Amino acid sequence: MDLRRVNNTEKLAMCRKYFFAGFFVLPFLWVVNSVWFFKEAFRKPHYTEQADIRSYVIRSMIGAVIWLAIIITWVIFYQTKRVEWGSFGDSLLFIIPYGSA
Amino acid sequence: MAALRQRCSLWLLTILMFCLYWNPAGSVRTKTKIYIDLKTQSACFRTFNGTHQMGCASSQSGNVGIVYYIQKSEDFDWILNDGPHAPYIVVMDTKDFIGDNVRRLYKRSDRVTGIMVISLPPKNDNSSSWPQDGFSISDSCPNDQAGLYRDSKVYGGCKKTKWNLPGSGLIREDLGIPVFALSDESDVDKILKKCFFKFNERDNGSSRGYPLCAAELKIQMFGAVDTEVCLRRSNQAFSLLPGSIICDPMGDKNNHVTMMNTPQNETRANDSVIIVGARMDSTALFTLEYRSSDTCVSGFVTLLAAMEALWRVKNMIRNTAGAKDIMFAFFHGESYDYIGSSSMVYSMQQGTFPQDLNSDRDDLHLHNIDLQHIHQFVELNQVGYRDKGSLWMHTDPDNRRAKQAQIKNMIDGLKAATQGLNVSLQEADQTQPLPPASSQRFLMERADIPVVVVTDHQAEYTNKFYNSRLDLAEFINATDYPPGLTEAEKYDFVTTQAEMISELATALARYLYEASTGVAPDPNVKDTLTANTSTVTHMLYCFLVSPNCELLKEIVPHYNSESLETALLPYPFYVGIHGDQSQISALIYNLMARFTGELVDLDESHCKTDDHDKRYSYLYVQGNKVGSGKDRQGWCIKSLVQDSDAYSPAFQIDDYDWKSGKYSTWSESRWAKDSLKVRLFLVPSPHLQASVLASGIVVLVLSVLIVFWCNVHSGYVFSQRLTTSGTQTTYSPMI
Repeated sequence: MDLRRVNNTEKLAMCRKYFFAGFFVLPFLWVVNSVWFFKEAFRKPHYTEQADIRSYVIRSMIGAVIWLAIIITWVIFYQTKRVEWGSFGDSLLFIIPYGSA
Repeated sequence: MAALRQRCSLWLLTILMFCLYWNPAGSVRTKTKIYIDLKTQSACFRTFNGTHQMGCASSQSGNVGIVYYIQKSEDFDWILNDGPHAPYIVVMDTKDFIGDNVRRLYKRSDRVTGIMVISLPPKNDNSSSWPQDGFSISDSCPNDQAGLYRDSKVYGGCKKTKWNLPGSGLIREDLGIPVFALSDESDVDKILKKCFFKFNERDNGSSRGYPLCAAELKIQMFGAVDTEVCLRRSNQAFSLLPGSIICDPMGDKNNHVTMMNTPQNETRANDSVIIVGARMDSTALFTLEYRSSDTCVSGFVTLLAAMEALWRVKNMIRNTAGAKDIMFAFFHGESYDYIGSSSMVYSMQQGTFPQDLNSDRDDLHLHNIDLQHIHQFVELNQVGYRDKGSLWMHTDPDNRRAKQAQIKNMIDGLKAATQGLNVSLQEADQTQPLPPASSQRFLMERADIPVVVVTDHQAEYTNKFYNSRLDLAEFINATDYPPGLTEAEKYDFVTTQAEMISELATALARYLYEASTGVAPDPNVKDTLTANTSTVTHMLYCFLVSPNCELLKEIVPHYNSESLETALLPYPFYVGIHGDQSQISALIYNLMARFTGELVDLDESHCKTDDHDKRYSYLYVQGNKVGSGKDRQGWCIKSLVQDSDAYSPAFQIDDYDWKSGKYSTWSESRWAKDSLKVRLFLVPSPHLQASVLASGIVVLVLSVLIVFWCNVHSGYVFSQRLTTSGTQTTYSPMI
């Protein structure tokens, strides 16, 4: 969608939808939200809805960063502990590593 | 001007097309110009037990290194320390391929990424081409942790006698690099003459310059860690690659035949079955390279020959009141912690040996044989050599104490049976425990079965190549043919070993007759109980020289005859994976049927197990030749021969504790069909490689610039007008 063709109220509605949808374990929506509306929130000259959009964008960013941290922690944790966990570690695998532990 | 340019382009185009079509070298793919492929398919592969992974593997894309041929001991230092072109792929002679050397190399995987061992048959009888102190991939105390003495403080770990002194223990080590055997002369030629001596050999101690010859060894293994992990991953339901099995349990079939046809509704007295056993398998490091003349062939051929002799008097034994039953048993997978014998003992304990009676009780089956039915156990191990000119009878000290009188009877009986024969049997040191033997698994579950193990060593093995590809027929004089014999003449030539085995088989048959009936055979019976030297000769030829032989052709079904005729090597003695029957157990089964069964007049479609009397098995084979053509008579053989699973109980018991070590847990990793590969190629110097890369980048950048320039100035370059109408007046390829 081209944001240039959308009026400001609709932008705010959309930004809000994305922010709330992100709570349903969809951190990527927060990432998309913060990238997509970044210009609207911080670069564009002032307009009425901008403050709200900005707050949603900032909150989306915080949510995304928290999620990123969680995912990175889990990946590191899992990758280092998988072999140790044995059967449980294997049961979380999608693709079985050929020829290695 | 434009016309001239057009004509020039036309000419250029013609020349270009001409160059493309006229190719003086023929159409050769670049790949084949770069690489020399070797034929070898003899690779060491990965195996597992309950706790470890063992054997060899390469990385997914193959291991690459500069080829270096070890000719003298300084070359080890060169490879491991001084050589500037590491990592190396080491080529070594058979005589250098021993445990210590291999260990030195594979432990330095930063400098050695693979090994190839030259494994050609010797051109002349040159003993210096073999490892001086022997070679065996088993450890010096084979199967110790799976045997009777695993917990014994006195005998465990071979404290009394180290049986297998040349034992390298490589079978239990994770080499981690690919190792191939080169058994084809052209391969060796390529790697030495076209590769090593031409490009890589040192000049007066200093290294050669580039280009150098490198090799790529590829054998990627699917499994990892240990049997437990590997089976679990094979059975993992939730996976993107469901059903992708990455390893299989080792196992095969045991064969056995009983003298009596006692059905399940008669009684079988305790201590009434004499077991005579031998192993069918051996092992070695490389796929396809399993020679095993002394390790297993000598033993099972003796047993088969004794069986043939004994069954000539089967009616006399069967008609003797109170005669003991005799069971000939052939175990498979014994090299891997006694797979076959532990499996047989387990099914005896479950009451399902030899036939599972629980399935249908109304039909006639063979009466089951349990451990308490066993009267005595005579086992033949390696019998190809003669230590101090004699064979040796081994007993277990505890067993001896428990069953003194009976064991003495057995030993005296066996000695007496050799009278008048050219074979000597002596008693080994009584304080010495049993050598590695299948009967140990029986003693573990019932300690008072009298056991005697007959073998060719008094203390440590006389065979320096136990469980190795070098356990060759020539070492036991099984191929001492005079020069110039044709294959047909070799097949019939009675070798020294054939005579030795015949004598022993005769003694064994006579002993068994007396042990079963309690009556010494009279001279007539003794004559009948003489092993057929010609059969022994034929068996040795078929198992050690070539399976393409008349004896085997007679006893295989017609659909298997092609496999015999096209076999280039003797069939392997490696147990292989369960569910995939090895040739060796199938052939022994058929030979047993031939030696003990009777021919019945049934055609192929009717030659099958009777619906009500399931004691007998029926086997339809090609039979003897009729006339001069290829036609064969076709035999339907009815016999008491049975096979049973040689499948470790570890895989049969639910929730088996893999670390317990109670049963064999060996499994074999799978690998991709096309993944065994060795190829050679030349590597230019790093400078040259870098400059080729740099010039490639320069050309790329230049061409981008030129195209950009052309695009900007397209109006100048392509001034020809394409159209006169419309807005576009110049040809622009970018629009």
